[in-house]
Amino acid sequence: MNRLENRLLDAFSAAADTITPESLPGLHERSRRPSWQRLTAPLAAAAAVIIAAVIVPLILTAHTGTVTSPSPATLYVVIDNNPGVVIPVNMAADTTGRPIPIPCPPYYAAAVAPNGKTAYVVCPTGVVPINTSIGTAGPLIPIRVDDPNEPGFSFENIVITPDGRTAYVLESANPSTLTPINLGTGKVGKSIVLGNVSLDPDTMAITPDGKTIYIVGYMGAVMVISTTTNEVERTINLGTGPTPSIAITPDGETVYVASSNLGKVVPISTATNKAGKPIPVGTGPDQIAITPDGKTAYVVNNNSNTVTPINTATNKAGKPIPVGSGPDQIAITPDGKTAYVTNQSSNNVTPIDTSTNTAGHPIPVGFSPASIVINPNGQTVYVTGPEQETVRPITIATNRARAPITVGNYPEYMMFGSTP
Amino acid sequence: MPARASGGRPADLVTDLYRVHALGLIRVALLMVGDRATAEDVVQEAFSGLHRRQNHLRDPGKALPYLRASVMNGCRSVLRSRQRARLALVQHEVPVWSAESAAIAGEERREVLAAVARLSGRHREVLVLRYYSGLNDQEIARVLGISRSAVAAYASRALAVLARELREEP
Repeated sequence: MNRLENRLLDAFSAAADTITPESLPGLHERSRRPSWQRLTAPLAAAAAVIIAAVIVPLILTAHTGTVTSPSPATLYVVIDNNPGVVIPVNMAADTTGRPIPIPCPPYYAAAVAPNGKTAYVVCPTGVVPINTSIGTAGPLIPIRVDDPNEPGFSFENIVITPDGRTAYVLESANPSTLTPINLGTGKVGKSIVLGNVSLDPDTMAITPDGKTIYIVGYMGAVMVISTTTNEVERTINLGTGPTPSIAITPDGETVYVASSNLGKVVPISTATNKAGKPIPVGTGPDQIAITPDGKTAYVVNNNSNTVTPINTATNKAGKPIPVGSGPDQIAITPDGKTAYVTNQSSNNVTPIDTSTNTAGHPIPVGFSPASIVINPNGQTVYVTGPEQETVRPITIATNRARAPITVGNYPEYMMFGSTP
Repeated sequence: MPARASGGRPADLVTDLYRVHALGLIRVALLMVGDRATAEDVVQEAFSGLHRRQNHLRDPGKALPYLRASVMNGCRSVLRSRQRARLALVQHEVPVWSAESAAIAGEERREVLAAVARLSGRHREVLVLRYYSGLNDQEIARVLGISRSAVAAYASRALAVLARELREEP
């Protein structure tokens, strides 16, 4: 505990102590009706107002949305609420479609099958398939849960094999596991045990040939899993501390893992599964995006407000590109010409010209943007964040934000699928 | 709609949880939103939500993580609507750490709390849960529904910003 941490402890407890136990009714006298019960009626009234103000307009826009011209694909926005909901956004009209209710609170993880017809949303006790063709959620596919005291909260991530046959769901628990689901039959296969809780696997990526899954653990270990044998092939110990992200080059030859403590990115050759020399980048590197031609990896440096380009042929870092404050996530256009970075603290998005590696004018997008995705047609960037109630479309041709699309509380995750 | 207690136990469970945890949760909410009245509202709403859902609660052990998560969600909603109100130049309650409120002794403490209040939502949430509630990063990850490495990243970024603002070693 250093001096700063001690100051935080002291200040927090001083502020907390301004509320004394004696000043709170209902804590000592058991007979007294606790105040949460007294509040139930006004809360119900408030809920009615919320339903009228938020949900009804949502349903209304839903109809205009589905009636207008169908687009080739739909943006699905996962709303982190209990129970959750997925909002389809008509990308041609910037309108929302009929909300798809989810029978559980979705976790921050979802994936779409390669044919775009089924999306899978991760929940605390399993995975919910969404049929994007008809816009409905199927029943939960339950997955065994290890810790009965904390059912769920522990599924961290999901990947789908490029052939669309299998989904793998990552669980951080004791022991941590990776569980295959046969997407044809919906059958849950035998979980692959990754190791004890200290591994704390967190995020993963699958090679383009679908044969190998790379999982990064909190403590800087990378696990290599063969999808042919469903076994752990190898554990590569990086000894780096937190490794928040992983990316694989389109040719499947190199895996890049960011180490937030070291301020470095570690390249791993998929041929040898050996870690190469760590590449120094900025402070607190996190998300990594690789251009479609595989030549450059862009690393977002959370703490130094920059993005570092890495030449994937030489594994040398280029000059850091200053972006906005609190940069978070990054996405690259399908033509590879522009990378877009969300700046959580400066409430905007920075476009980076990848031919010159220079930042363009920041595009204001509202409070605390986080998630960012780009329409596969290369025309629009979509930005949202849990602190917003909207999705902001940005026209790539002009780098201007269009009117926000209201989707409701806590939008967490966006993905593309076919149109209902 | 005062919910009917179905059998004795579940109603007692929520009442018991209220007696044991309300104070701590209100204090946590205070650190997030700055004023006691709003903090109490947020916590009451969380208990109210638990009360409505208690029949679905399979495991009573899950109630406290649920309450923590819903208090944090409630605080997030408050801060977001205040953000909108600020844009409309509407004043809200004076935070307990302002010099004006004079509730906390010591300029240094007020300086720390004000710097924390300037951080964005997730950063504040992680600091409060870590340094006030005493949760470890795994527990914080579960309360906030984010990954543990995201917690570590938020914490290190928040500490780096505070160190700069408060002229301390990070």
